[in-house]
Amino acid sequence: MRLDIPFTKYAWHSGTIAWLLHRITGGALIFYLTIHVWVTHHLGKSPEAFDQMMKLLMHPAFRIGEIGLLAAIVYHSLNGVRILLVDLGIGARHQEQMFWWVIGLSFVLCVLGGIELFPWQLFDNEIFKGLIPSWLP
Amino acid sequence: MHKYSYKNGGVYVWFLQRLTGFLLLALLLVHMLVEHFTLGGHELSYELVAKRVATPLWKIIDSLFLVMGTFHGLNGVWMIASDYIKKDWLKVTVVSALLCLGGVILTLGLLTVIPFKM
Repeated sequence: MRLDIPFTKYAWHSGTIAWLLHRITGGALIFYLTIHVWVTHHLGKSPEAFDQMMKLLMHPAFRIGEIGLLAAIVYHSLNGVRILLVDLGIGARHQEQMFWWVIGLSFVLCVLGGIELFPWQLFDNEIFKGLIPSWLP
Repeated sequence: MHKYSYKNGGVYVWFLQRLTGFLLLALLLVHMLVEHFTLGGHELSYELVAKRVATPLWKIIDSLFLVMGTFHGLNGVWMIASDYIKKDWLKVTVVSALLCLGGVILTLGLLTVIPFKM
């Protein structure tokens, strides 16, 4: 079966999704690298500049953005390993099975990292405290 | 059809993309272990990071990380772009733009890492 994906001539199957996600996450990562090099340049200027930049990066918006970064890196890395194994001829027959392993492992790692990175202080205010039942410890 | 053939050297680019991808993953694991799990964790301070970056070995590792990341990333963008671009003049324009961006990233990055003193 062939479905129309804009700008492509491929049919939809797990490999297509893997390929598309690899390109999207790759594009996001080179965008991040460019900004990262600029940010790091500022971090290295002086201890004051470092603290100022780190304060900005601790803002909840950047913390949530970092979860997105983690997701892109984890998926791109794991799917990259899958591509390498397929290209080496080791895993060509298992490429579809490996795709689901990539998705599963990415999900687990992103949930674990996401819990660590999420700006939980967002819930540290009166509105949210009012929503938590009083009988909860 | 001959994008990754031996005739135009494309196969070497294809191989380099795999090699840098693999090495980037290895370096990323080292980076995560050292920077986020061993040193400071949440409490990264200027002193802690500067002490590491100022050592020659880390300058080499960080420079390699930067050079390979830039190559892998921009070559990846070119791999995507070349799937859709057919006109020669547009290919030259995109490659030139990517080389310029690579030059800016490498210059700014290496100038940050190499001369760094505590």
